Amino acid sequence: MTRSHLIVKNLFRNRRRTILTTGSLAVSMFLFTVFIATYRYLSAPTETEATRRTLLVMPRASTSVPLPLSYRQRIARLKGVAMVSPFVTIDGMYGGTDEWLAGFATDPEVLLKLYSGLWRIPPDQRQAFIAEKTGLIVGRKLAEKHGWKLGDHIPLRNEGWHVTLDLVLRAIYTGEVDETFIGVHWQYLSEVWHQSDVAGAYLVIAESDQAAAALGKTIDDTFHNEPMETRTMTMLQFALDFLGRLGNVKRILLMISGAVLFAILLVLANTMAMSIRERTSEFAILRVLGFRTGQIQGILAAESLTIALVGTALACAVAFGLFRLISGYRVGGWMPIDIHLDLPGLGLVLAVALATSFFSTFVPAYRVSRVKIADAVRFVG
Amino acid sequence: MAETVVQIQGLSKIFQRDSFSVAALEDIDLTLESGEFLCLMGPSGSGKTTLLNIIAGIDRPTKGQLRVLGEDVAQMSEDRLATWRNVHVGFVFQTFNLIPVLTAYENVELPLLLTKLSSGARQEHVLAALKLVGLEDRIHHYPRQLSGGQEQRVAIARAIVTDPTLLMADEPTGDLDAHSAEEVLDILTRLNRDFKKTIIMVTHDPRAARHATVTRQLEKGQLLPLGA
Ligand SMILES: Nc1ncnc2c1ncn2[C@@H]1O[C@H](COP(=O)(O)OP(=O)(O)O)[C@@H](O)[C@H]1O
Ligand SMILES: [Mg+2]
Repeated sequence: MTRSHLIVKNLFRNRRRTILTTGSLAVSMFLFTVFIATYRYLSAPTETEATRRTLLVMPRASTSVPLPLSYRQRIARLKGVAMVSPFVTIDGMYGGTDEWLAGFATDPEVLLKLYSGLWRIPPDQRQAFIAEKTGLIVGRKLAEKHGWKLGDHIPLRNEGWHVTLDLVLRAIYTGEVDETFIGVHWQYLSEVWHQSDVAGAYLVIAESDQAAAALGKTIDDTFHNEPMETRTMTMLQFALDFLGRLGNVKRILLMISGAVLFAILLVLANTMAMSIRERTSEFAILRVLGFRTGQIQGILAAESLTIALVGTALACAVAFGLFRLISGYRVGGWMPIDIHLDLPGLGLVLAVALATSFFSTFVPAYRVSRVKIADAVRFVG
Repeated sequence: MAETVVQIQGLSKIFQRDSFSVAALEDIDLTLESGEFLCLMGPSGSGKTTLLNIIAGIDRPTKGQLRVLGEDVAQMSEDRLATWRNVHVGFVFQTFNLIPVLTAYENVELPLLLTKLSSGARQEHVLAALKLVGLEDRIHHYPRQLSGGQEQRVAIARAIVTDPTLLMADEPTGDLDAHSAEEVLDILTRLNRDFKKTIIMVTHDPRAARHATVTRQLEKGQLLPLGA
């Protein structure tokens, strides 16, 4: 027998209680992990070259009134602009089904530039998509789900615009990103739209990070005092702005996390307090046999640490599974969810597990040291 | 020449309880030589357990001199006392006080976890102790699978597994039937006679006293003169 053996034997003393405690700890820890990961995601959206260099030009007043098409040439002439394209987020039903698809309509070159480094596309498919006005690019997951093959005709019905796009699948991308997204030519959309003079919004790709930083103001100044004023920001700013509006959500997340944390502490503290109280006389026996108070406290700490770590491991395993599962979904149809537990997040979760096990054992273990052996053995005998 | 194991002079213990105090021991003088088997008798409440606890460093005297195996145990810190007990003192309680989740073997091994013995050496000691109390065929039994007499024998094995000089037993037969009590007393007698253990045993049982080399009576906290 070793001390770890002794710890395991003690944990299995009341098997049901240990399992229930570990279980509730795992559930609470799972919630905590998800909340923390979500909080971190909302606080720091993924930053890439594309999100820094790509600017979104939207109507200042109302997003439902599209910007005029004439702005395209005026933006293209500005210093620091590498590419500009009209930009519309599209969504619609696939064929006669209620399968909902979402993506962007832009110039194909701009779309591919936007996702360069994220999407892997065979070069011939890339060319085929660019070459054909009704061309469609979709993610691998979506294509596999419907059994689509290159060359298939994919009808996309949008009820709001009363249009049906007859698209031809020309490219399938893969990547460690959302693989359920679609991209179509803005040109094709504008033709079926019967509105040849509007663009929706604009997507601008800047020549450099510095250019992108300056362009926002330049573009908005250019269209200042025009009938349609603009509001321009980088994709990163846009994401931050969007998330900033979730300020309350973040605060609520923090509050719930705090409450969950408290629950975790209570669960473990309660179990440890009960299990320690029941064993008061046993600890006295151990002390008579020569165990020092510190050694007994060490055993108790190891017991609660074992529960905390096993519960946390379970929680993280389930949480990681969940993160994988939801990694394909998008907020608002286009903003990919990329919730994951990064190292600092994982560190925080582990720290919470350690702190919980420490604080839950602290008080009862201190009591153990205060009990007089003579009283404790007399209480039994 | 016999060594003095316990030397007590003018020892008193007063329990303070809120407003009143109980004098559990008053002005005790007692000397015990190595190899003796002291039987401590007396009515309930006379202070037997208190005296035993003080000698084992489980409780502390209110005043008086106390040397056990040459150490001033009353002055030692709790941690030093724990280690000292582990090495020098074996203790047997009236209720057997085994750890219920541990087998007989593991209960006996407990005090050895604190030593530097290898696991092989520990096993040797544990098996020898269990054999000595006649339980070599019950080593993997849990306390609830043992009779009261067997449990108490495991407790004795646990008390002697570190090979202590001094063995103390507080009414070790109090909860046992006559037959089991006799077995336990036999073991203690053998430990005293064959293994030269110094033993202090508290008991109510006049028959138990037959096994002792010395018998002393406590009454209302006072030790009656020898032969009284
Ligand atoms: N912790 C304590 N607090 C107050 N009184 C105590 C305490 N322990 C023992 N006593 C008292 O001391 C006296 C001697 O007790 P004890 O040594 O247990 O007697 P015995 O073992 O001979 O039955 C009793 O009157 C008992 O009530
Ligand atoms: Mg007593």
